[in-house]
Amino acid sequence: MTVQVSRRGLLKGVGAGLAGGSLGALGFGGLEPAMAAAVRPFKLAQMRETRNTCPYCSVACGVILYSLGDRSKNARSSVMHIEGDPDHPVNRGTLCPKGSALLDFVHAETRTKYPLYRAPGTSEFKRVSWDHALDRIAALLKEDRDRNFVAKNGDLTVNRWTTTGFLGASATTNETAWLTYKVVRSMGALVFDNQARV
Amino acid sequence: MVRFFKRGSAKDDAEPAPVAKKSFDEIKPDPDKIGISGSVPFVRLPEPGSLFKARAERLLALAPGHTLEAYLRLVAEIARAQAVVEAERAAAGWDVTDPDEAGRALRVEHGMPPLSRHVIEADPSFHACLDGLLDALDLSAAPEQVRAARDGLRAASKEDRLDLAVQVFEGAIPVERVAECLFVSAALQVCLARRAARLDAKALKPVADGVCPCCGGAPTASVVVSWTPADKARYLSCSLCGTLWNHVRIRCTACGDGEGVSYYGLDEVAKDVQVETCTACHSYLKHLHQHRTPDLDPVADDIASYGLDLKIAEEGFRRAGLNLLFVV
Repeated sequence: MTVQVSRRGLLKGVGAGLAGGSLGALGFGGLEPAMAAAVRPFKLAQMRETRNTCPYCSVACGVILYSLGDRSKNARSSVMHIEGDPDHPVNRGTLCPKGSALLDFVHAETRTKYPLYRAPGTSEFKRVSWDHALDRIAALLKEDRDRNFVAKNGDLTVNRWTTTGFLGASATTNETAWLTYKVVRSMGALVFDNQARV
Repeated sequence: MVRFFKRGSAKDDAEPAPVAKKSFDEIKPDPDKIGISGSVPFVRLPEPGSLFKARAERLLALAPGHTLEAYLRLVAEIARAQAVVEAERAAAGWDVTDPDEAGRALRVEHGMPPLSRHVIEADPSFHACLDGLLDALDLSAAPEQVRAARDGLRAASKEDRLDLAVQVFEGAIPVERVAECLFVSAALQVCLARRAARLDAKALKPVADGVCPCCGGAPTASVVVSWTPADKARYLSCSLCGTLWNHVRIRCTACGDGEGVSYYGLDEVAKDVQVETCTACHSYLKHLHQHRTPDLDPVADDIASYGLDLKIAEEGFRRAGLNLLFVV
């Protein structure tokens, strides 16, 4: 239900010189312009609160990210505080020491923000495109699978691939987890674990 | 080296009191000890004994030097009178049995708030409340209009007063009688706070977004609290009965949208009073961080932060909710 009580417009229509609401009706009409003048020099500071999931472990605690700025094109947003989500049924606003330090994780200079590639024999990581990274991963997976896939153990069909492992993430939805399982298992991979247990 | 790590004298290092040993089977998990319980309580019913008194104190604390000092002092006087009436009625053994018990059961069964306008219509104590309030008020410092409204209300017929009370209850304050409605609202708050306090908190269910589960009233402000079982949860404060009910944070109190919610504040003035705005329905409600400043009162600090209302209105947001002692 939306409760909208705004009599200002109506009062202005009733008669000129009538100040709106309780202030006007009770003889405090002069206070409203005074209040407006008092706050004129101030600027509104906008803050946003955004729900997210802590990426560290399988408990998947709810967190609230407090950020300045409105995510509009000209404004620069910045996360300034992170704390537990009091409405989240899992953690009810609490966080472990790792979760409490999430802000440093967000602002860490060494945080990986894009794919990096260190070619064999070189000493430096070089920024590469997502296409390059995914192509390379796919090529290496296929190469290893072609070489080491075991289809039969004697007469028994086993279809297993044990030379490559896969590590899932913790903040995934049920659907993502289902997809991950299907993709990994359908290739025959058995070494499959979740970041949540690390 | 050892001395560096020794704290205090040897006397202080007395052995801790022996703890009764429990067998493994007797040990049970006790999450309450760290402040977490399975769920946050849905409502906190008002405590009429302290509600109005604390409000009057907060208003008087805010008033000195404030641009709206005169108005804050008037509302402080009203809150003081509310506390006096409440104390008098409580001492006289207030009869709060519901005149319409069958109707109430029907309302609850169909997901409506248990307190309805029939409670006021059938309740003779409303007139006693209003008379007591008007007598307890000391309006010598107030403007002429305030005293005229009080005198007008004193002379008004019972039907007329009841008519005003029902209109206030339904959130449709008649424009030409805003001044009288101030006192009618104050008397209603005393009546309804006492009635709401007697309800069974566990039997109350959510009615709708931004609707009080006790009386169906609109919220005055949203408060982030710091009680042990609900640390930093958000509660809405009812404009009529003073009940606090839980509303998930970062979710518009008027339309339930969660995407376009932002918080604005005048940083230089007070960080603990913000407005929660919603770009889906373009409304806003005051958002008080009581967990940082426990003194914050929904009614008092809503009035004191009127400058924020004026600023946010410039951004094109309308006020959701209602402060009966400060109709904007």
